[in-house]
Amino acid sequence: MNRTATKMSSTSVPGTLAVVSFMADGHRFAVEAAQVRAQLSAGQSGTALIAEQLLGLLPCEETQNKASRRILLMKHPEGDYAVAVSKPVELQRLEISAVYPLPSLIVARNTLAGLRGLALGPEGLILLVDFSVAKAQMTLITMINTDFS
Amino acid sequence: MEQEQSGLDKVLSLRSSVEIVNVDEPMVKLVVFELDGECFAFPGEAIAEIMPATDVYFIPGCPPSLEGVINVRGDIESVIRLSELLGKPAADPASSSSILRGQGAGMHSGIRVDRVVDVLDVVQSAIQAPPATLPEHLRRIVSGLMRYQDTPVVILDLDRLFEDYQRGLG
Repeated sequence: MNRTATKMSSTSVPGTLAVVSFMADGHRFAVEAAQVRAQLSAGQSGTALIAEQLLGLLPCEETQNKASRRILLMKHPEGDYAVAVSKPVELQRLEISAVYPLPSLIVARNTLAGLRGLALGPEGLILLVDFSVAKAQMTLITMINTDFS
Repeated sequence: MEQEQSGLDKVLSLRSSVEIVNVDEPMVKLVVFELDGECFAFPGEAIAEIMPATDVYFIPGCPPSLEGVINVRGDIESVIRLSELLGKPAADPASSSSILRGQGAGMHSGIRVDRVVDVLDVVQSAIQAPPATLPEHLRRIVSGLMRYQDTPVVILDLDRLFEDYQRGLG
């Protein structure tokens, strides 16, 4: 299988945090770029976890469309895993001052798996998530790997 | 012959005989606000700020009572809809509602209310204990009752409200 991929830079310069942002269920999310090994097109991947399922969101019709999908190959000590996310997928550098921990009541009541923080910039709100935490939380629930080949 | 008192003398005499009322009674500051036509209040020390309408950023995965987050001078605060917690209809989104920045039980959050009515200093004795007939869902979070301009005002305990909200209220 052709695994030609866009290598994701994980270097962070002081005062910034490198993230890979993407869309899921109409909202902008991001994962730390250091956790992403590569970005693949949907045709370059075999099976992948659906970001909306992983995060505990209900996928809307638009996100079921495979043509609008990109695959993030995520690093993991027990083996890399693929997550299908919606375009646009961008490498961004967030100013540290724009990154916020979750307010207490959000921590207590939010049900998104792996939500770690928030970033607020001129383009609006970005939800910072950790797929590995979400994946660990979902291990007791059957995760459906969708074929993207 | 007795001298007739001048007008000024009479006024000064009257004023000096006015009984001095001891107002050294403990006072409580209250932030009174409206929700669905009824008046509620939080103790003043629990409210850091009364904010004008501002952009609220929706966060998926939150209950409907958790409206989202706001940017407060470079910091992030959650915003809860008090109407949902008190079992009242949600405020009309087009209305000019306010957000109170509250702190309690080691937490802080914005609290959406329909309208801020007044900020008052009232004597402690004007506050009555909550009646036993209070609905179940209000019993723990209501700390007292008072009247303001002939309108009953329900005083809420923000510490308990945040604690209960954290545990799943609303």
